[in-house]
Amino acid sequence: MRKFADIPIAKKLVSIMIATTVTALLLASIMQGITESMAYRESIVQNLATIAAVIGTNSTAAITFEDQQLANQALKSLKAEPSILSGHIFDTTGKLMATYAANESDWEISEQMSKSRRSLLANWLAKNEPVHLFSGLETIDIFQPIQFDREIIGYIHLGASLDPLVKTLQRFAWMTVIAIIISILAAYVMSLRLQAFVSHPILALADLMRRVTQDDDFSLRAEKTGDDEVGSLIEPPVPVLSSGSLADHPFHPYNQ
Amino acid sequence: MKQLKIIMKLPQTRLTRHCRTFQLAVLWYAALVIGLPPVHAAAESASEYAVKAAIIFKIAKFVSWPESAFSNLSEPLSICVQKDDPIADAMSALSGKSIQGRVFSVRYFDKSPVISDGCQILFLSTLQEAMQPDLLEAITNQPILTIGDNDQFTALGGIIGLEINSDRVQFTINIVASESAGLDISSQLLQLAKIADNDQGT
Repeated sequence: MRKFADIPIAKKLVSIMIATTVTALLLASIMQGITESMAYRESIVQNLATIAAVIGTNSTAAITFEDQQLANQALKSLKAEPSILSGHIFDTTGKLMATYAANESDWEISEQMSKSRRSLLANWLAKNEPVHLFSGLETIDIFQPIQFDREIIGYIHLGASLDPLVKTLQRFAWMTVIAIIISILAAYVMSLRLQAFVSHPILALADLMRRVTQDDDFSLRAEKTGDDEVGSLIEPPVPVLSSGSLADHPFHPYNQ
Repeated sequence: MKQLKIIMKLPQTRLTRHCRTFQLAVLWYAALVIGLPPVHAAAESASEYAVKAAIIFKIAKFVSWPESAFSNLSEPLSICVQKDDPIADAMSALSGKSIQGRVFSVRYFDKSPVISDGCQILFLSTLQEAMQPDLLEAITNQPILTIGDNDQFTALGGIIGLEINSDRVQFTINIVASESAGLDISSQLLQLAKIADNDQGT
């Protein structure tokens, strides 16, 4: 592999511009991905808390009068939200009053989950405030007290899948990959044209030096394209000329 | 019970065993003839009234009264019960609890309730069965939640009738009566109750 220092200036400039573009885009995408993910997590917690509050409000009579059938009926409305996998209503002692499982096959899982969650509930009972728990990128569980007439009468648990978040992140990753490919192409085309502003004067000067060396033609003059550092090489400033060292050189225009 | 304990302390001879059986039989017979309720029956009855009182308190949480039902914001939410009613003791245990941001209080009346006394809930048991029709008629349009525990209570114009079946308390709600009283009963409570058929009166 050729060393970067040996690559022609034009290619160096193109590579640098593409690398800069990809790095900037990648960093921006990662930051946006994290922001999106955090925003989604916040919104799903908010959404679940709202659903839990609605279900809790709708089941106050069921809890107050210990009617399990009505409590189960209140949980059945969760069917409208496909991402919710399970739901449980507990009384203030932690006794299970109602269970919901999105799929009949998940019923046992839901029952088992209720047991494991109940132990968590016991730890959270003292807090008496909504609690949520993310299990990686798979599920989220939310526990919320059910209040009625300024009193906590029970607790509701909702377990939801994070599939929508995973799908959103996957879609975002694909979009980022596509954006990076398009950006590389765009950066390549643009940098091919734009690098000329920097590389052409240097290449022209290098070419002139080569011709002077090859042909011993000291009458050749480089065309000045600007007042930048390359331009100052072509037409040295006055103090340099008057210093005596460079002005005495046979190649110097003043000596020809 | 004390007598039974004394008998248990006697030496276990055949004669004392016969004596004990005889004394037990006499006690039970006396209880039947005099009309004393057996001890376990009395306990059941007390718990039944405690359950009823708790149900009434819970029901009240699902009922909204119009502002006119209270003279001010700090006025307690009062239930009126007859002093001699067996539920009175159970109700008094709930007195002072918080309900709908108000203090729950129990008011007692002797024979007939004084409606102007500030009752938001009126409990009428079978003790007041004879006066129920007139009383319910008199308070038809007043914001008073009437609760009774006899079968025909809602048919007479009462709003909520309590009924104990096996170990569960069921209640019937007369929606027409609640509407004319200006009370708003939660739809959740209606889901749990039997709705009285006003055409047939039950």
